[in-house]
Amino acid sequence: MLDASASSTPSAPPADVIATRVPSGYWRGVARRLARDPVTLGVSLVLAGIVTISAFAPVVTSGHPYAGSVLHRLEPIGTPGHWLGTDENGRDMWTRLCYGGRLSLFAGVAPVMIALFVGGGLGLLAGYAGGIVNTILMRLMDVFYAFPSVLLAIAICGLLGNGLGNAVLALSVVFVPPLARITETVVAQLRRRDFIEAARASGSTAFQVIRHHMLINALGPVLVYATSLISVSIILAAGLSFLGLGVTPPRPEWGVMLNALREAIYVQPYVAALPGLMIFLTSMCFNLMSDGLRSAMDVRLNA
Amino acid sequence: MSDAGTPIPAETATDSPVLEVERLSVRFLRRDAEVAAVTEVSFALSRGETLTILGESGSGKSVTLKALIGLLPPHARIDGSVRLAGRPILGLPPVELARLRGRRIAMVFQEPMAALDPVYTIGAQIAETIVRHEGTDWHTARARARALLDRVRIPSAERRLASYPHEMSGGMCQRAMIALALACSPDVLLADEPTTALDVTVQIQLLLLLRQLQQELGMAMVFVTHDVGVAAEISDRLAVMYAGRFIEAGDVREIIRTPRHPYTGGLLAATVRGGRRGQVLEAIPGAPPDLAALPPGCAFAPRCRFAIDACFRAEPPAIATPGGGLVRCHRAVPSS
Amino acid sequence: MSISRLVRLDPRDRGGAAQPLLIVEGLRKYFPVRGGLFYRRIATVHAVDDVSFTVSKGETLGIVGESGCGKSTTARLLMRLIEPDAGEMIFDGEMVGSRTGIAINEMRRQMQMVFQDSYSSLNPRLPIAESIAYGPRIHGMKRAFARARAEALLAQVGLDPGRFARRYPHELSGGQRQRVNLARALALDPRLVILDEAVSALDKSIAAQILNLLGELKERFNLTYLFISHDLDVVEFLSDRVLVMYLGKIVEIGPAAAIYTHPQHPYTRALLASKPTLDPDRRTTQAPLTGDPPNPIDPPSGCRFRSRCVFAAPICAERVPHLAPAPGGRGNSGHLVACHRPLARIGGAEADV
Repeated sequence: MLDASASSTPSAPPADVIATRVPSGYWRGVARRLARDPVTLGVSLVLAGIVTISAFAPVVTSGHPYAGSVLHRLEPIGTPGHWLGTDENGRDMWTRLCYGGRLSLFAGVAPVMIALFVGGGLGLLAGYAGGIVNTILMRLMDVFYAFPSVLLAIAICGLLGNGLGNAVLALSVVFVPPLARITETVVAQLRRRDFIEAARASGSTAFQVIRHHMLINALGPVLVYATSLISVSIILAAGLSFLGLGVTPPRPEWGVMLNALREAIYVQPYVAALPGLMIFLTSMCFNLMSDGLRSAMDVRLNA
Repeated sequence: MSDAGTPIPAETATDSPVLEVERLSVRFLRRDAEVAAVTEVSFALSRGETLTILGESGSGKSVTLKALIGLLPPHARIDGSVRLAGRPILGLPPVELARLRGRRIAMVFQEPMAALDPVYTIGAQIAETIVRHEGTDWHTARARARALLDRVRIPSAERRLASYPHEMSGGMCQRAMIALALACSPDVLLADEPTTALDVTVQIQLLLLLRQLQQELGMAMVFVTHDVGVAAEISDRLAVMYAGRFIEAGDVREIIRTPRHPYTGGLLAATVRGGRRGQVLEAIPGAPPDLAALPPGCAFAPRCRFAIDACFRAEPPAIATPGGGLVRCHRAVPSS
Repeated sequence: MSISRLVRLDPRDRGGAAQPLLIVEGLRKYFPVRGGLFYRRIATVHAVDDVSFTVSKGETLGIVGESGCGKSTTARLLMRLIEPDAGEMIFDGEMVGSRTGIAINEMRRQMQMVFQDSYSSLNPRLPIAESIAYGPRIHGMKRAFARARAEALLAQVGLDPGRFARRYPHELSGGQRQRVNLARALALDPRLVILDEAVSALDKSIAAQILNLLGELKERFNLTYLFISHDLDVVEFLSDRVLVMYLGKIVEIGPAAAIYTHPQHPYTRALLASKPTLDPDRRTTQAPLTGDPPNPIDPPSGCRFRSRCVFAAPICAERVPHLAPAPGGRGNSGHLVACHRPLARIGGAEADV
């Protein structure tokens, strides 16, 4: 039996078992995991490409989105001078797709941004305050939630009239309830965590707690959800245009183009399908990116 | 309140051990590293014997239990052999394993409410196990379930058959889980910290119950805990686990009275008990090692105040101790 | 109660050495259980019921009890994280929350709390130095000063600021995180620290380190501790006086030595006897208490422990026992028990546990 020598330092500082790892922030960890995920990287590149091309449409295209020629209607893919063919009015498809991307992307992203602020704000208030405030706000959201999103968008657009602005407004209204709901859930859960109680115990006001502790923790899950909504928004915006609400011809927008080329599907099926392909591709990319973001963020942080 | 200690008579233990584990090792393959959760664990258990694995978090004790019953995730690599009544069970196909589980070897978990299915009544869960393993009809199974609930001292057993897990307290859920585990009179019961989440007054009731049931049924039991007191109450043999290895094993009285490994000694010294107010505790400095990057030599050496050069260079050998135990330490004096 | 310690007075002291740092009088908190069609109150959880005690300057008061006894709720009531239904708190001679006394916010600077779950007590998105500096900053300290203070505190709790200041909670072990929580509690320079199961989630060997650290910090910063735990041994080790709670009420309170060697309340005795033995040759043969701790919803009349008490008599169902000096022992020892039939008086087997 070994006999004990004099005791060591009573509260000896613990050996640092993670000495070799560089201290990393949460977001840096997320970025690192994202960088290692091939699917997310891939779709991010594709998305970046689509956004860049749409933004710099005048640079990458030589034609004009409104210049059409009755002589060159519905030319197939590969026609010299119109490498993606022409639409039912003889306008160059490639040009219209690029310019159309601007409006489609805008109609996809803007409503989500607006809804993030409005819905997120409402959810934050409801989640933090709890009690009667929470009940009133959330039940109000439930009223809107009861409507199927497409019908709600159509109804609001029908009320407000055509145009891109009204479409964006209508879609924002559609997205406020789900964002409010998820924000409320996240905030309500955070509210119960000990570190929030500890912050309150230090004497913080509610505003200070929200600003320093709530926002950075709630942002993650809410952002993931918002990103997934973008893909829905693009489709809904295109759908509204397809139905004649939202963007109206001759402005190029993928939904409008899809509607216009509907009858051409017997004549030039590939050309007619192009706007639909773009909608699908963009929406899918946002969806996959949101999935990748969720996986990258969903790491057990308990060492 | 306390008795002189009735050792389990050697006659009740049959000659051949009911559970034999030889050089069991479990590694988890992660993308960037390989975690050696359990390294070369060996022991043999006879009927009616209780082995307690004592260790802190990260020592590998729960992983060891799960390896015995085949509950490890697919990315675990298991080596070594485990024999249940002479029959190797490590490489068995899932169908065979499912037939063994519940019938010959059963497990009780730490969180009672999490381990029971919340959408079925406990009567249904117990009866289902009986029907599946023994093929009896539902009526018989239900009657046996009721008898089991009586046996684990759940009051109003008949009514409790129709209770859902969330309607019962933690202590009662734990009793129900024990009843479920014992439904088909298994040969071996594995218990993974079953009393850790319970209040101390409930814990002692459950420990006494387990001891009594074990004697009645002649089961072998492998009990995992981090509490020395619980180990003292329930075990015949004790194995202290650190960084995936048994660093000391043997008769529980022997080890508690004369610990030979510095970690065991430190663990016992850190157990605060009685009249040491105001003094400074002998705390083991540092923290357990990262199992993905174990140092060469003895895993405890960085924290050990008796460490010498040899401790950092080579794995300590297993030295036999009187009473049939072993200790893995370079500085332990071998018994003659 | 005589003062057997030399009390060092804090510069902020108002009441003098003999004034208890905290007096709690008649604290009560009931939670409604709502259900049914209109969310009506169908039952009441008597979480904390008429709890009164004092904490002297420089002492460690331990609070023990099992689940449902109300000890954690009491801690939160003291910190005013929950509003009490009734009761008063007097901090260093001044009534808390009243116009003429001390404001709640000011009290929060002198009283801090450490929680059980070391991980959830820290904001996972902030480096630990920021978490520690948060308290001082919102009370007006400049960022640079608060940062410097945080790093100094990290050193005090045994974590090298150079290596740890910028780390995140998930990079630390449980023991290290608890040290950070201690540093965070000390950041506002409190006089009283409430430790709510602060070492319960840690391994025993790590807990021993933290217990030693608590002793050091108490000496160094002249602190008073309120130590809440279900672990009887740790409470005995750390506390000068101990308070035993059952179902929202105090059943016994007194010097640690008296409580642990001569418990007067049957529940206290049963609780102490339920500790697992450390001697395999002297194993427990009979459980001191059967059944589970009851639900604090609609507790029984009279003494709440009577349904499980082997010594229960008709009087126990009729009258609620109040804290009174325990029979036997020195008269002025401060050992109080709330029982109609304390063990010394009925001469029952007086267990020396």
